Amino acid sequence: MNKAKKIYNWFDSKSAIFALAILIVFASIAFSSRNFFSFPSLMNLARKGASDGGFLALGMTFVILIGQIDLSVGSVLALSGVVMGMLGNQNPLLGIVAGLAVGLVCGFVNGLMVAKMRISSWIATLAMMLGIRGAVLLISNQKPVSISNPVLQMIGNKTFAGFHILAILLVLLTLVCMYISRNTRLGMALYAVGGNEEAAKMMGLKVVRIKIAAFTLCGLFASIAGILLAARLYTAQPNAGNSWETTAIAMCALGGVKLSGGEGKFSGTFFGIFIITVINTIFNYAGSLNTWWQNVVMGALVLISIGVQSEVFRSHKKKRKGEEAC
Amino acid sequence: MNSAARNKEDVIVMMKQYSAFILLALMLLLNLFITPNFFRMGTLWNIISQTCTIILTGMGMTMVISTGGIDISVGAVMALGGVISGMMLDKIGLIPAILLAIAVCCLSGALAGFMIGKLKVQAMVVTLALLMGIRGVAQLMNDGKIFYIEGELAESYKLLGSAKIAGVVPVQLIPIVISVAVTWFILEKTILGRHIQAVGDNPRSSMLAGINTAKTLMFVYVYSAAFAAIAGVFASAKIGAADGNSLGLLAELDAIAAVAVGGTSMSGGRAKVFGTVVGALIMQLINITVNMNNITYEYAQIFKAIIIVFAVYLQREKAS
Repeated sequence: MNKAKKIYNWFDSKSAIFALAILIVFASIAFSSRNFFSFPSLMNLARKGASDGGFLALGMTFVILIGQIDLSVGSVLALSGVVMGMLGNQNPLLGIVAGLAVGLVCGFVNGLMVAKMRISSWIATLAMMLGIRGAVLLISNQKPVSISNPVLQMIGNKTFAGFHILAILLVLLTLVCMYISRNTRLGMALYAVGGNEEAAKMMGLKVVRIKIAAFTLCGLFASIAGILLAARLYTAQPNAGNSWETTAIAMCALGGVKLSGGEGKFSGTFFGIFIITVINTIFNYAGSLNTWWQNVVMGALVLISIGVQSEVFRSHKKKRKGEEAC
Repeated sequence: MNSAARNKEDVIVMMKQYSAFILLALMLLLNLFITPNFFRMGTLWNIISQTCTIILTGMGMTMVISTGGIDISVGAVMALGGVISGMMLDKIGLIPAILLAIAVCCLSGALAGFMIGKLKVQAMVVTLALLMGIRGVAQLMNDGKIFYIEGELAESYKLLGSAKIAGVVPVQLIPIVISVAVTWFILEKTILGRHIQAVGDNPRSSMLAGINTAKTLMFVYVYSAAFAAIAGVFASAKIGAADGNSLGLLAELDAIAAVAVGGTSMSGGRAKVFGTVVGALIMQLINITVNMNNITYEYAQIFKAIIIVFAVYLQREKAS
């Protein structure tokens, strides 16, 4: 009985890792000729995970932890990429700083609207998504901005001893986020606000500031994603990141981050990023598989994983615990 | 207390209560001055025919949001509905094809309702997964290609998008009126409607009061999916083609914005059917204003964003 419980607990907390393991095994069996487990292809996977919305998912986790949502990340990604491209070709440092500033400002405005003006985060960030996308199309004149500066090109494509810079950054930033969420006051406060806002307020936490901080961090991560994506592709597309917010949310959900807030880990999001990337890679490798199946499989996987993590199953667990106590 | 102060407070309260209507009136007034040829019947018919999908999806969304949930799969469900009805048209006939489309989409709504009501998963994740999955299915139906509606029955199908009642009124008025009437009736005049808003207000206490929350939520999500399917049918009939990739893309956001601008509380418990209609009209009016004045699309989006935030900001105190 005890053993069964242990195994069950393991499943419950590590379901994301488990799903990832199944997927990787499946992929390696299905495409063994492609050397799925070789170092270059794993590195490729990490690089793809980073550039296909991984950073967005990390930022989104901050916002989801406080029980809100940010739909504007895709648009912010495009705006900061374009701003960086326009300013960075002469002066790369200026471009990067401006790009990051764009993300910070957008996130801050989101936070103000949600925390100060008390507009539902759905509506506030939806409006931001429309407005920022409009702004990107305006300032770029709907044309992609090419990035010719070698420093910027390096940022998106350099490899260190075989480790791609995007993969390194993804791991590093995940570690930073894990540190913030576990060991800082802000991290604790995020969980407190997400778990029970009223209680957090009564405990004396400055809920408004914490919310603004979470949205600002989310905007910052979106701009990091935009800068790196533009740098990797040598162009900043005004349409970049269109509807990537759903991918980012799905990565968080698959990683076990509870969308009603207050529960979830950045390590979970990290594995969520990889689950989605592995699915994408499987479909890219297998040319014969219809690419439209990708969406169906992804949707089904999210449904199954949240179904397994749902409260009905959890309450079974609690019941079993209660019986044992008797 | 002097009565003047109280009057002033009353006016502010009233302003807030009818802020959506006032905004609509302001938009109309603005158009009177800046838009040439605005006050013609043609503009009205135009608005009616274009606002149909927002109102249909908005009606379902009003119900879903008043239970405290959200349904972001409506755009994908629209695509599925349009593609199914378009493709099955020649095989089984007009009415059966539409009914089949609605039935299949109801299955998606039932799945959402089951997971949200029974398994108690957050509405957002479930409908997000459905958004991806259903969109994928809609694309798969015709291998990701646009399906052009052709064949014997194509003309009668396209009439759903282009017919005019008595020669002038667009046919889209019929689904608009029916959907608004049915939704209003259910929410305001039936026990089910009370249950829906009670669940949104406080799911736990409504369960303790003996309301079958799972059943109520199931109904709400099936209702939303059914209306999304009908919206998909009308949208594809209007274009004369069904595209699994782009039909109903971002329709969920328009619907949510219409509901929020209309004054329905995003945290549930309070549904405003006519508010949603006004919200949908405002959204469409923005588009029309922009089109008729040759303002570029990019400015339109910024404009839209500001109006949404402004409208919701005006109503926020009542909502909290």
